[in-house]
Amino acid sequence: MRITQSMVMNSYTSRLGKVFESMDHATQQVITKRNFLSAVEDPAAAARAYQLRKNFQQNNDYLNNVQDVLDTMDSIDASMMVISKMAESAHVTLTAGRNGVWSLEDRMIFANELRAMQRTAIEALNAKFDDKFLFGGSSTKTLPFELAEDTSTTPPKQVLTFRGLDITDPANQEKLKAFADEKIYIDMGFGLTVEIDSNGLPAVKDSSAFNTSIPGINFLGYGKNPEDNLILTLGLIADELEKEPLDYDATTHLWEKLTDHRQSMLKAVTRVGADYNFLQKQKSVLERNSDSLNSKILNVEFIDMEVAINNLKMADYVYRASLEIGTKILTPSFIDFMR
Amino acid sequence: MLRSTFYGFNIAFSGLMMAQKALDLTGNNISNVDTPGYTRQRLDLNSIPSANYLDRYAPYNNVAIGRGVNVTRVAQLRDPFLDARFRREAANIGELDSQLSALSDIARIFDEVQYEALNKAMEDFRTQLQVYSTQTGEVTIDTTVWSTAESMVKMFNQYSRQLTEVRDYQEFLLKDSAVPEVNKILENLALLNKNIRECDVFGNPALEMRDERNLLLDKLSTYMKIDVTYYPDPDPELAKRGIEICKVAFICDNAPPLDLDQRTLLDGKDFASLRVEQIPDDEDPDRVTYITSSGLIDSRTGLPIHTIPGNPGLQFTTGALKGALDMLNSKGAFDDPPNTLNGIGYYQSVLDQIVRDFAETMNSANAYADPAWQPFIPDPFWMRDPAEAPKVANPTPPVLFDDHPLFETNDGSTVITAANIQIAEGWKNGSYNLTTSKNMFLPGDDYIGDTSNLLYIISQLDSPFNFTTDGIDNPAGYPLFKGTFEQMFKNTGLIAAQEVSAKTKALGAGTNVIMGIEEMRNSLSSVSMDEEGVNLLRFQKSYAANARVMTTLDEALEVLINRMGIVGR
Repeated sequence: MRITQSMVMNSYTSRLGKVFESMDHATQQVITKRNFLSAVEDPAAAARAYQLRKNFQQNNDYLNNVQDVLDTMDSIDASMMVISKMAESAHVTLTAGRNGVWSLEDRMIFANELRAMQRTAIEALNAKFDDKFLFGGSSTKTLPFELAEDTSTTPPKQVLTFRGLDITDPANQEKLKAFADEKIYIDMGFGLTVEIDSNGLPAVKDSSAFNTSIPGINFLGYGKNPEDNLILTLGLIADELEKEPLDYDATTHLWEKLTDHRQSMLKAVTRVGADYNFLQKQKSVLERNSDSLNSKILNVEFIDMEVAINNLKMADYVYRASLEIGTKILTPSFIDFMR
Repeated sequence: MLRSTFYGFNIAFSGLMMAQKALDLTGNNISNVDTPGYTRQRLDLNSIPSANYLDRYAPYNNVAIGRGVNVTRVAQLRDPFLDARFRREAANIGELDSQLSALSDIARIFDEVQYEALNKAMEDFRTQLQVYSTQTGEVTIDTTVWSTAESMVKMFNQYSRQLTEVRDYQEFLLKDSAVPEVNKILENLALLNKNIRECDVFGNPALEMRDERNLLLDKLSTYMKIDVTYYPDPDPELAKRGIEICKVAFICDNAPPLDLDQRTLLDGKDFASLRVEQIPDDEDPDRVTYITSSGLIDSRTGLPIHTIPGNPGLQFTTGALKGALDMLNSKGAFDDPPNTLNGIGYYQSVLDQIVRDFAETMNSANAYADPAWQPFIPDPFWMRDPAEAPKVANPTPPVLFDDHPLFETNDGSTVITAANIQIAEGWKNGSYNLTTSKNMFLPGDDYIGDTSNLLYIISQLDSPFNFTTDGIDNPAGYPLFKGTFEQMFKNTGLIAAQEVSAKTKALGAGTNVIMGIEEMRNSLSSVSMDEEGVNLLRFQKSYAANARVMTTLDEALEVLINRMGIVGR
């Protein structure tokens, strides 16, 4: 094949351009520490990177949600422990005292204690965390519990309201049942699924999100009889203890009820504890995921500096060699040697 | 026949003349070593036969000696087959290059490898919804959600504007650069044809003008696939002398097919011109861009020689003009019938469709239940005092109101697009908030903690949908993608990136091919300094040798003229 100066020149210029381009690319890799500089360069890697970034951010969202719920549950646990301990203490004292050796004076003191317990319990039940009521179910901004005295009856009776509803009113029972079942779901990465129910309203699938709602009436109990509720039961016991002589049967009945309530409280506290432990584990899983995603992102998107610098050195070497060759091949021709 | 006394001088003179011309030609070749399109020239030589070859009465032992050398013409070394191959490949490269010009800009808009943009904004929107789900009822968080949504919406607006800019720029390139350039090339070619013919008539080969013509034909071939033919001059006398006319026609896929006359852009000194038309007009967002040909115009009368029926726009088979038209007109899946050629319109349509689907889905998810509706109503079968009737679940579902949209248009239009989407005024000014729960209907009861609707909104972001050209799950639409909004959006950017990546590789391959052809052409036609250097020496020696012949003859005649007849004097 006949080779001419312009052929050599064109070919050299074009190849030198490519070599310079790869050196620029290697320089950019060192500066940015990136494996690829645009999606065009490696669309498959860009797709992986986008997905990993999304997963990373989503994982962090879940982690924040878990941490937020854990903080809330600390407060829930503390408040429930107060009530549970009171129920325990009341139960122990009543178990010891209901055998009839108590004097009226002793019983009056205990009755007062029980009423004080009621007030403390209400305070605990109306506890707030992060400006939200903890035990109001899905109502987080309205005071959930109020304990009042209905003086219109003889003798006066205590009325406990939950979100404004008398928990012993037969007309409210359906609604209270709905309140007790209320859920506040938080997405923690269990595969959130929300379906539309027969009313056209969204219904979160229970296993797909975490329920953080603990409506107070759920563990305190509610019903047409005041004794169905722990707080009112404490009041009823106080009423009985103030009577002379002590109605042993009535007290025993209420003691049995208190035993049930104590069990319910313990169960509820245990459940909160179990949820707390579960969330701690979930938090560990999410933290591990976060680390793993981060390292995947590093692998896909970023280049080892050793490799990047090596690439740059090599590109620089090739570029210099090309320039060196250029000075050799481009200058001389037959004409240079003519005399 | 007797040889003339000074016959030898003529022979030497012809040699000197040849050597002189050859040195000039070598100098011309060397001086044009870097001239684009220059084809190396060489002298065609032949030796002049003896004058008495045909001497009827020549003696049998007559010795005929030639009369020197004759320069018949200056020729070019060029292969028309290589030119044709080069031009075919140039058209393919022109098409790829033109497409890449638009696609690279599009891919850059969607590229978030180094800089976070819309993908991140969408993720941030989701994150803020998640934060809100743990803080429902906190107005400040609702504000944070809409401000994140606003950044996302502004990104949509910006992407739309950038895509429009890509379209405007491509239109500018076509209307104000490519087509005027083609017309200029055609005009110059016609002028060259005219001049070359005139030179041919006068017996001047006009080689440099032919080089220029070839260079222009090479340029023209990047814009469209062309057929270049040379046919004998219509004047029989000139045809006999081998004078040819250059004719250029483009290849197209028009239906019904255009005949050769209609496809002809250049014929001798007559040429056609192309023009860009836009229907309905260049302001209409759905405008379609056409290129039409005026048909061959008679250069003397200015009247069209051929007319092109209907002039529906030329359907070039390949070349930069086709690439540009494809990018401007093709909407891929959004075309009727759908195709796989994703032009700027495809990306604009996909972006508009995603935004529309997104806004409609979010607005619908933000609907709220009739506040008058009660989930629990007094038991209708209660026979006693109605005031004491127990509450039972309401068997009638609530009416959902959709007058709390999250997104709306900023231009009063009813159709949301990426260009006109904005945060709904009501949401922005606090008239209403995100519907965290559709159950906001019980007087005296707040459902602020209920996150069911907020999670429903989040789930809409994470749910896969069947995206079609006519909206989600629309059987009438052409399927686009199945996935979440975010995936659909990312996929659109990745399609652009993949197209650029694939076309860049194809362009690289095509460039290699054309460089190979160019190398072959150069191998044949370009100037070699080594050869020319050798020629310099060769013709210098030749010149010297011919001069020496002359000196020798001079010396020989000196003997004959001045020294003969003086013996013994």
